[in-house]
Amino acid sequence: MKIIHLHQEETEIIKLAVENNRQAQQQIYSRFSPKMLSVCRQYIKDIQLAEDVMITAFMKVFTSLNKFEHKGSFEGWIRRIMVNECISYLRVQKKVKFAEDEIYTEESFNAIDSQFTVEQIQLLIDALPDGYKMVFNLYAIEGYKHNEIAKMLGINEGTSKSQLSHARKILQTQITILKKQDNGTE
Amino acid sequence: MEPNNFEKDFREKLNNRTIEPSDKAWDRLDAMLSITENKKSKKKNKWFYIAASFVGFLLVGTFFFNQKEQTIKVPQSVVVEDNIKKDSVVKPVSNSVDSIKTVIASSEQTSVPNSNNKQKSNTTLKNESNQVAESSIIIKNNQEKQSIPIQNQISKNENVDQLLVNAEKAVVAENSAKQKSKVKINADDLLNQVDGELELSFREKVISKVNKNYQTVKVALANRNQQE
Repeated sequence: MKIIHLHQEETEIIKLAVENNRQAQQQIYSRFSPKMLSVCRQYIKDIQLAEDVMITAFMKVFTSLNKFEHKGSFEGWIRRIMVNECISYLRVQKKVKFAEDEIYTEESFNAIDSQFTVEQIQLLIDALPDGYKMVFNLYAIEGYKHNEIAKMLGINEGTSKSQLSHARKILQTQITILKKQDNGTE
Repeated sequence: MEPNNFEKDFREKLNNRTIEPSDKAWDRLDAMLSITENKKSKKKNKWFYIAASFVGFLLVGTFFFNQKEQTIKVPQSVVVEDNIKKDSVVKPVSNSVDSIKTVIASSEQTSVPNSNNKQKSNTTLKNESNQVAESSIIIKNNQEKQSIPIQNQISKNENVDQLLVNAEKAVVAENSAKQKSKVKINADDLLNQVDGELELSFREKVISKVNKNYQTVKVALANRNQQE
């Protein structure tokens, strides 16, 4: 019952926000902005730049709110806009180039069982080159498939796979180093 | 390529993470939203202006087209006026013809009574001659003499009338023929001639200009060659 009530409340707020009701827009913003800033932070290392991108993405959310069909989850819809905005920002600002080597290995990292904090994880992701980072975020964190990522980034599916395997290799080595450091300190 | 354990861990931890944006972030978004709202209203105004200007252009265009039609109509009206004038010129003629005809008719009518009178006079004369059959030949002779001049006079009158009628008819025919020919000249030949003359003058101007320019260029070239 609570969920239904919340859903009804959400749809009403969205309706008001579509009519440029600033209070409703602020409610949506304050509800989703902390999570969305986290999403943007995954892609953009600088928190200030991440916030800028989030604001522009929220602008897109509010300007295209009338296009939102109340089928999927509202959060998922906003999150997709955020991710797309981050990608377009990175592509414009840094002109990310994807090495189209299409060499990828299907290694399993199941042996590695990470016990890292979110900050540590973020540091690991931040250390990745932008191309690897984008593909890793999209695949591992957002759960997009390789063909979807290829479409979003305008690359081949093989390139997406190779970027992911490179990212995984780097992460693996970094995780092992960190674990050794942790063990050393402990 | 299944997500690995550490990836699952990454995902869970990152998805649960929240980063509070700065206090200024909402103010900036608020400002951006109000700007876009203003832009939207401006855009609406723009569209209104565009529509208004379009309508204005349409009105102006229709006005000009109507003017053109009017200007076209003006010469037509002039032509019509000319026609009217021509008609007015012709009509009096026709009226005159009619009047002449009526005159002719009246003259004929008058001549007919004359002939009647003449017949009557003849009959009276005959009656008189019958009545005075036994009278002297001198009287007859006198009567004959009298009747002959009367008949002569009548025939003379008839001849004069006929001649007048014929002459007037001929004059009318000549006049009508002349007017017709004049109208034809006015309509086609004169205009064509004028146009042709205008065109010729323009052509002549162009030709003369071209010739002059050609000559100057020719002279300049020749001088240059000589100088070199």
